[in-house]
Amino acid sequence: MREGLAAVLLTGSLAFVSAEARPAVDPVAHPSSIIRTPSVSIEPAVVELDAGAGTSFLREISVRNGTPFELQFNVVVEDVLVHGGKRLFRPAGESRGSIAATVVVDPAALVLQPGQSGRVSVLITIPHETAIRAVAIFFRSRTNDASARGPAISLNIGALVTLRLSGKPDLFSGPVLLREEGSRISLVQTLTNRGSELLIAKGTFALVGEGGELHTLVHLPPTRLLPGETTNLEAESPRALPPGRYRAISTFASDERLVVREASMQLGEPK
Amino acid sequence: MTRRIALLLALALALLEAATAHADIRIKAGKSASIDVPNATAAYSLDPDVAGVSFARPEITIVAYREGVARVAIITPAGLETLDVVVTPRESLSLLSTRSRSALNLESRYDSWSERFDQRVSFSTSRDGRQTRAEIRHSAVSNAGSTDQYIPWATWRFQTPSYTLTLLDAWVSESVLTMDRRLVRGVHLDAAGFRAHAGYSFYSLLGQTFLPKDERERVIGLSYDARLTDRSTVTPHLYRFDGEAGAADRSGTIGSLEYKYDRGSELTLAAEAAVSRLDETGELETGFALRSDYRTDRDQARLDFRYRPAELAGLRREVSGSFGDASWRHVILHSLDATANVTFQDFSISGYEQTSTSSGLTFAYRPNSRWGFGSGGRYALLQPGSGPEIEQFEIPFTISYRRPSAGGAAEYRYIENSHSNEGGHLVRFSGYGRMAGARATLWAERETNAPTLAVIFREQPGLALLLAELGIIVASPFELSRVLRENPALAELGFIEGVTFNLSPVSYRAGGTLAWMERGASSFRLTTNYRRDEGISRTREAGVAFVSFSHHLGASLDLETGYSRSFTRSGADDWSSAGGWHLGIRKRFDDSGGNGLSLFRRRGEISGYVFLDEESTGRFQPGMTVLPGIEVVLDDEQRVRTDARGFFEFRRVPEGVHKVQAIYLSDKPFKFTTPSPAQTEIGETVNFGIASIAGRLFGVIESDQKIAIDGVTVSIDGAGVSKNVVVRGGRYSIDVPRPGAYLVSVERASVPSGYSLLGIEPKEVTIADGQPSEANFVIPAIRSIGGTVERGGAGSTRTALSGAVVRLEEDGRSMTTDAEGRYLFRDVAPGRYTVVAEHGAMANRRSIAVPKGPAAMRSIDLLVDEGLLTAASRPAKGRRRADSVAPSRREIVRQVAADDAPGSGSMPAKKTRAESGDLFAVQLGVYRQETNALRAVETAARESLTASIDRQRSLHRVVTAPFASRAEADAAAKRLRRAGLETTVIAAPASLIASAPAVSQTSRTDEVIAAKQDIAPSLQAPNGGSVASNSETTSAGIIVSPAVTAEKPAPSRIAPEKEPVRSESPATPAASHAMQKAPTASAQKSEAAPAVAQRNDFPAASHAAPTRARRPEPIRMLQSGSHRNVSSAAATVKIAESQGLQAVIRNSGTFFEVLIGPFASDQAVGVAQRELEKRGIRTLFVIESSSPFAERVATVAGLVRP
Repeated sequence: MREGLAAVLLTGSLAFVSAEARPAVDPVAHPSSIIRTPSVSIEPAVVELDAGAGTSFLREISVRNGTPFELQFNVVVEDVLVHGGKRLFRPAGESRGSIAATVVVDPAALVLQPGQSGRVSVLITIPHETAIRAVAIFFRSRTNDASARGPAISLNIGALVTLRLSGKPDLFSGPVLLREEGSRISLVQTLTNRGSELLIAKGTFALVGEGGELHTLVHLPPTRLLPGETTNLEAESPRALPPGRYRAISTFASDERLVVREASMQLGEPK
Repeated sequence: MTRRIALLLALALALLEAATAHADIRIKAGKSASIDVPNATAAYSLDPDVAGVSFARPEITIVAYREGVARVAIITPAGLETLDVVVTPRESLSLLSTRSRSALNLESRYDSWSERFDQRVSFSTSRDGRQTRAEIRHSAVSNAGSTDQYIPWATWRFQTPSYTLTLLDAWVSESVLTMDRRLVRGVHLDAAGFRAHAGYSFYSLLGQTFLPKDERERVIGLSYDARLTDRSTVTPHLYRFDGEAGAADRSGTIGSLEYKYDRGSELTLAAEAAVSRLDETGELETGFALRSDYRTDRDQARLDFRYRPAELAGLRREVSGSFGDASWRHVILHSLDATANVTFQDFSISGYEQTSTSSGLTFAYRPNSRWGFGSGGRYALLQPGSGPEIEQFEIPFTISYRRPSAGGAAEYRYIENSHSNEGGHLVRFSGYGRMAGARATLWAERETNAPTLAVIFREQPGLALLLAELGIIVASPFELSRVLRENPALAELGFIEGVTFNLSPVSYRAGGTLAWMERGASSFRLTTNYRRDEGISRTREAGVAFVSFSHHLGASLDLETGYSRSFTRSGADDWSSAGGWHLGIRKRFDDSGGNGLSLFRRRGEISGYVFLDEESTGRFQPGMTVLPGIEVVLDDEQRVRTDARGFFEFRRVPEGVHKVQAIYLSDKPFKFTTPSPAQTEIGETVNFGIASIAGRLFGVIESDQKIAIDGVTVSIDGAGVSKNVVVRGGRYSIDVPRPGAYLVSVERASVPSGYSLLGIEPKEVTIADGQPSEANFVIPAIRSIGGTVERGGAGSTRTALSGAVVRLEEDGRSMTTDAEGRYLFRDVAPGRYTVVAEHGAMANRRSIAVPKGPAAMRSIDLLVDEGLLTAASRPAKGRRRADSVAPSRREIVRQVAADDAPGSGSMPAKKTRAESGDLFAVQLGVYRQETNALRAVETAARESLTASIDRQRSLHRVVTAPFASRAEADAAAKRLRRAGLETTVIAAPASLIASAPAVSQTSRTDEVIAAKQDIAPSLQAPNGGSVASNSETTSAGIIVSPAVTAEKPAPSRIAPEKEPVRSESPATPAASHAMQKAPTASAQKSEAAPAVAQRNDFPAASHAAPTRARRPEPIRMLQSGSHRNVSSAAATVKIAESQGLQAVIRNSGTFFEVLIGPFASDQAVGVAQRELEKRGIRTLFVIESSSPFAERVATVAGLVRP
C-alpha cells in the first residue's frame, strides 16, 4: 500500500495516443514537473476495514499526477461482486445491499497539475444487510486532445476497499499442478474463498528435491479473495533444475487455518 | 503392588498426553531461538514478515521480527510439519496498555501458608515521548506473633529519548567481573552511552526483592560504551564497593575493560580483564572472563570461562573462584550428531570450598522429525574441601517421539556413584499434549540404587556394630546380602527381612501439570508432584498439589486464587499434612474510561445534532431537518438519545479522546454523511448526517444479437417522477428518489434506423426504497436478402426472369420471383447463406454473409443460363464479389456502403461498434446551433473531408468517418485543427457506420439531403477526386469514406426496374424513390460529381431542395403489415377508423400495407398500438419526418382509400 502504481486495480492503462505530445508546463519554470517516467499513483491502493453494520468510515485517498500533463479525475465508486469466481464491478446502486451507493466522496472531481497530488475523502457506510465485501474507488481521467494542451490520455486507476463483517471465510485450495518448462518447473494452484467473508491468504510454493533439499521457495504476496472468488496462482523455479524427482509443497494460511497441498513430478528422464 | 499401579498410571498418563498437543515457541521481537529437528531437510517461514528462518541441519534458527504469529514449515522425508512461533512484543516500559497515556495498578495478595500480605502499587504515564513509571511494594509477614514490615521494592523511573533516570531500586548488569545482575537501591542514570549507578546493595533478598537489613554495601560506578566498529564495542567499567568489615568483606575498587564482538548469529565474543585493589590488603589483583559462541552449518561451539579470585573487589555475595564450561557439537552424518562438553568449577566461598569437573560425550540419532535416539557417557569428579572425592559415571539411553501436538520420551540411565552406590538404574517417562486451550504434561520415573557399604552402615549403625561383634567382615553390599541371608543369628535378630529387600533402595517420582486457558478471560492450572523413597530402613513419601484459577472481572479487574496442599509420610504413623490458600486482586485504572483515574482530570461536554442530509454535504446548518430519538453512544458505555431538536449531549466527560457513535436503525437503506463512530475531545461538537439512498433503475438496450445499442432514450414515468436518460454503451441507469410503480419505455423516435420497433413495449416496474430494479430491452435488428434473377449468357441480352424459384439453402425458405425478376427474404438471421436461383434446368447460386447488425442486402442478383448449372456469381462492376467467403469486418462495411449507394435500393448492414473494430472517426465538435454544425461541415469539406451531423436532441455532433487506421484519423484531425476546429479522434461509432434500414430510413433523408446540398459545392471539387465518392445514410447523417472509393455502385445499380418489390414501400423511400424517379438525374450528375449526383437523385431532395438544413419534425405512424388482398387491408382500416384513427392503404405491388396515423406523441402511439393489438391487429411503429403527413401520403405511389 505504499505509493506506487496501484497495480491491484489498474483497469486502464496510460496511453499516449498522439505523437505531438508536448509538456504543458515548462520544466525549467516548474522544476516539480520534471518527471522522467510518466505515472499516476494512488495511495493507499487497498484499504481494509473491520466494519460493523450501520457504521461509517472516513478514509482519505490521495492520487498523484506524475505525468507532464494536467489531468482531471472523476471519482467513481462501484461495488465489487463475484460471479463465477471472478470479480465484477457494478455501478453504485445496481446491486442489492450496494455499499457503493452509500459512499460519499469529497471532492468528486480533481484537477491535478503535473507533479501535483490531490486527496479525496471517502465516507463509507456499511448497510445492515449486504453480501458485498468490497468497493472500488476509481479515479477516471480522459483528456481531450482538442485542448491542445497535451496528448489524449485515458486512464482508470482505483483503490480497493475491503470489508470484514461477521461472516466466516473458508479457504479452499485445489491440487498443485506441475508442469515441466524445459529444465524448470512451474506450479499452478487454484484458491477459492468458499466462505461468506473476505479472506487474505498468504502462501508459499516450495520445491524440494529427492533428498528433501529446498530448491525453490516463493513467498506469494497476500491474496485477497472475496466470498466466492477464485484465483489461480502461478510460480516457476527461477533457475534451471537438474533432472530428478521433485516434490512441490504449497501452503496457504488464512486466519488460523493452514491448507497444505503436495504434488511431485519427474523432471527429465529418470536415472 | 503400589509400585506397579503407580508405574502403570504414569505410563497411561504419558500415552494419553501423547495423543494431543502442540508445542509453541515464544520469542520476543528482535530475539532469536534455535531448535533441533534432526531429520529435517529444509525449513522456511510462512510468515517471513513476522519471523525469519534459517536452516543448518539439524538446527532451525528462528529470528523474530515483529509481534504476531508465524508458522514455520519443516520439511522432512515424511512430509511437512508446521510449528507455530508466537512473537511477543519487545519489552515496553509501560506497565499497562500502550494505548493509555496514564495508568494505575493496585494489587493485593494474601498467602495463608506463609501468612504474608503483599501490596503493590504502580503508576505509569507517557506524554510526548516521555515516560514515567513508579512502583512500590509492601510486604507484611507474620512471624511468631509479630508482624515484620518490608518495602522490598520501590522505584521511580523517568525516560526520555535522550536519557533514563531511575531512583531507588534497579537491577544492574554491567559485566561479569563488576556488576552482574545485582540489585542496587540508589540513583541510576543512562545517558549518551554512559551508565552511572550509586547506592546500596543488600545482602538479603526475598525472592528478587530486598529484605532491608542493616547489612548493606555501598556501590558507586560508571560504565561507558565506546563503539569501535559496527560489530565491536569497548566498554570500560569502574566501580567502588564499601561493605561492613568482616570475613567476607571485599570492599575496594575495581576497573575493567570489556570488549564485545558480534557477527550476527555466527560468532559472538566478549572478553573482559579487570584489575582490583582490596582495601583490606591493599594489593592489586586481576581477573578475567571470556565468553564465546560460534555456529556454522555443522558445528556449534560454546565457551564460558571466568576467573574471579576472592581478592577481587566486589559485593559480598559474589561467588569467587574459577568456572569453565565448554561444549562442542558436531554433525557427523545426516541425522547423527555428537556433543562433547567439559565443565570445571572451583568455587572459593567462605567456609566452603569445592572443586568439580565433569565431562561427557553424547550421540543423538534422529531418523526423522518425530523420532530421536540418544546415548553416550558422562563422568564427573567432585572434590570437596574436606572429605573423600566422589566419582560418578553415567550411561544414558533415550528415545523420544515428538509432534507439535503431542510427544513423549523414555529414558534409561545407568549410574555409578562412588559415594552412594555401586550401580543404579533410572527409568523415566515423560509426555506432553495440547488441544485447544488445554495443555498437559506428565512425567514419572523410578530409580533403583545398589548402595555402598558406607551408605548401608550409615543408615543402619546397629548392623555395623553387630557384624563387628560377630567378627564378620564383608567387602561389598552383595557379600553383606549373602551373609544376612545365610547367617541364622542375624536372621533371628530380624535383619533378613529388614535389610535384604532394602539393599536396592527404590525411588519413585511423578508429577504433572494440567492447564487450561480461555483467551483473555480465565485460566486454570493444576500442578502435582509426588515422591516415594524406599530406603534401607524406612520408606518416605511426600507430595504436593497446587491449583490456581484466575479470572478477569471486567476490563480492569483481575482475580486470582489458589489452594495448595502437601503431605509427608515416613512410616506408618508418621503422617503430616498442611495446606494453604492465597487470594490476589488487581485493579487497573487508566484514562480511557470513566474509572477512578479520570476523577482527577478536567471534564467537559460533547454534544451535537443528528440531521437529515439528503444533499450529502456533511455539514449541519440551522433549518435542516433533524432526527429526534436517535441513540448516540459515548465510548461504548454511555448512551443518550437526541431530543426533539435532534440534539444530544454528554456531560462531565473527562478530557481525552473519545469515541462517539450514532446508532441509526431503519428499514430503508441509508448512509451516513459524516463518520460514525467519530473521534472527538471534550468541548467539541459532533454532528451526524444521515441521507437516504435512492432506488436505482438500470438496464441494457441491446439487439437480438446482444449488441449494445447507443443513443436510445429511456424514460420512466410514475409516482410523480418523470425522467429520461440517453443510453451510453448500451446501458442506462436512473436514480429513482421515490418508491412506487413506474412505466419504463424506450422512446421510439430515438431508436436508430435499422432496428425494428416491434416489441418495444413499455414495461411496468416496481421500485422499492433504495433497491435496484432492472428493465432491459431487446430491439431486433432488421435483416433481409433480396435481388434480381436475370437470364442471359455471354453475348446475349440479360432479361429479368420471372417465375424463377429462389431458395435460401440454410434457411429452407423459397419464393418465386415476380414479374420483374425480383425476390426478397425478410427476417433473416445473421450467418452465412447460399442463395440459389433455379428456373427449369438453369440454376445459379451465391454465397453471402449476413452480419449481426441491421442489413438490407438487396443486390444479391443472380444470372442464370443454360450454361450456368453450377454455382457462379455475376461480377458486378465496381462491386466486390458477393460469393466470397465470409467478409472481414471492413469488407462488410465496404460492401454495405457499396450496396447502399444512392439509388441502389439495397439496405446495407448496420455496422456496430463492436464490429467496427479498428475503424476510427474524427469528431469536429458538438454544437447547440445547427448553423455552427454546418459551418464545421463546410470547414471539413474545405479540407477535402466530408463530415456528417449526428443530431442528438438539442445537440449537433459533427463527425467525419470512418478511417481505416488511427494514423489516418490522426492526420485528418491534425489538418482540421489547423483549420480551426477542435477535434477528437474516436472509435467510429456504430451509428455512424451503420446504414438506414427500410423502416426509418426515410426519416432522416431530408435532413441529410439538406446538409449535403449545403456542402455540395465543396464536395464537387475533392482533393484528387478520391474523396467523398461514396456515402451511406444513417440516422446520424452521412459518412464519406475515401476507403470505399473504388466500390462505387455501377450505374445499373440505381436502375429502378431492378429493385425488389419491397423497395416500393414508403418505409424505404430513400431506396424506392431513387429507383423510381431518379435515373435521369443520376445520369446527369454522376459524370461530374458522382456522390452528390447520386444523392440528388432522391426525390425527397427535389421537393425539399433547401439551401439550409431544415429541422425535421418526426411524424409517428403505425404500419399494420402486409396483406395479400385489399379486402383484408380494408378490414384493418375499418377497425382503425372505429378507434378514431386515420388509416390509408398503400399498394406495394404484391402486398397491401395499411398506414395509420399520424400521432402526436410516443404515448399516443403506444395507446393506439395497444388498442389495435387488443383487436388482433399487430402494427409496426414507423417514423416519418421532414414533411407533413398529407404531403408524405401524396408522394406514395399506389395509395388508395377503400
